[in-house]
Amino acid sequence: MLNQSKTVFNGIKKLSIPLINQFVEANFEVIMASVCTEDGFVIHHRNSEKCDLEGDKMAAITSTLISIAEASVQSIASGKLRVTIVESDSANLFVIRTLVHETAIVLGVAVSRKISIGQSLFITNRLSNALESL
Amino acid sequence: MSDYQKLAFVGDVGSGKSTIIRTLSEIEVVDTDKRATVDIGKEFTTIGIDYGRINFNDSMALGLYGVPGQKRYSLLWEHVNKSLWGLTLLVKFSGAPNTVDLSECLRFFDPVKTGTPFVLGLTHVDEVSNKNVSAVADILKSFLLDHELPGVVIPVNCLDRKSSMMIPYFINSMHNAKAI
Ligand SMILES: Nc1nc2c(ncn2[C@@H]2O[C@H](COP(=O)(O)OP(=O)(O)O)[C@@H](O)[C@H]2O)c(=O)[nH]1
Ligand SMILES: [Mg+2]
Repeated sequence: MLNQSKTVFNGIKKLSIPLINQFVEANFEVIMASVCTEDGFVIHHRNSEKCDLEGDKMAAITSTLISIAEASVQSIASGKLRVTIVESDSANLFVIRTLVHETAIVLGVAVSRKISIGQSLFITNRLSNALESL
Repeated sequence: MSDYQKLAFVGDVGSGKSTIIRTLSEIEVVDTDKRATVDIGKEFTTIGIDYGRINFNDSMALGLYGVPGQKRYSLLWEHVNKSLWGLTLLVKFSGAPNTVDLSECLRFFDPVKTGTPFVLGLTHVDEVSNKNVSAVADILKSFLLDHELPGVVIPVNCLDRKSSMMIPYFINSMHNAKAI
């Protein structure tokens, strides 16, 4: 990473840590929340007590998912990607591209199936908006 | 906090990408292997990326990315080719390596332009004699030099950890040389 981008990175990290931590603590059904750069470097990763996911690995997964999703959207439609949703029978993963201080970052949130996709998406979007208005 | 860097392995089907990442990774790898539907000489094929991670030393961890070298996966190339610490082209040993496909892949990744340390890993070398290995390594070396790339060819057995570690070791030495 370049020195200049390292400064930006550290700035974003400092700002996003409390927000991400609060989010995971306040939402009982959230399993994990993470933010990383578009090229797969973890900025901050927070697991709930329910899981033990590895931060670098989540960054590799979410950044890759969103890059493939973006390429897919470009090939099938001309619109802009809003969210990538991975649905499973125990939990769902939401990946959203967010801007923090004009730098694009990737937000990944995993939520238990105990709450609906709509509700999960609502809280994920709210977190994304909070990051954008930092 | 320790540093984290990305090391990519790109190569054709069967070149050993999934194997070297499984051999090196200290975490459970992200596995996207699926049963092949056409005869590619092996049962499983990687659909997307492979991912693993190792602690290279006390101050640095490496995220290991494996990407298919076929052109139709170029959307993954773009994603993986960002901020790389090192790039490895894996080539399965063969008496007459197909350098046309390799050229296309290297044109895209263009490690000289991005300033990324680059090596070619010649795999499956445990299955052939040393003499044959050095003959093919020489062919690949001149191929790389023709493309104005550093002519570094490392024979590697992807099933063996010590042998596989030669790749990150070598790339690290290229970084150290750059720092001088
Ligand atoms: N003997 C030997 N077998 C290897 C080596 N690298 C890979 N293989 C085997 O070759 C096959 C294909 O390897 P794989 O990692 O799936 O290739 P990929 O398509 O590049 O991911 C597997 O059966 C591996 O066990 C090597 O260096 N030596
Ligand atoms: Mg594979």
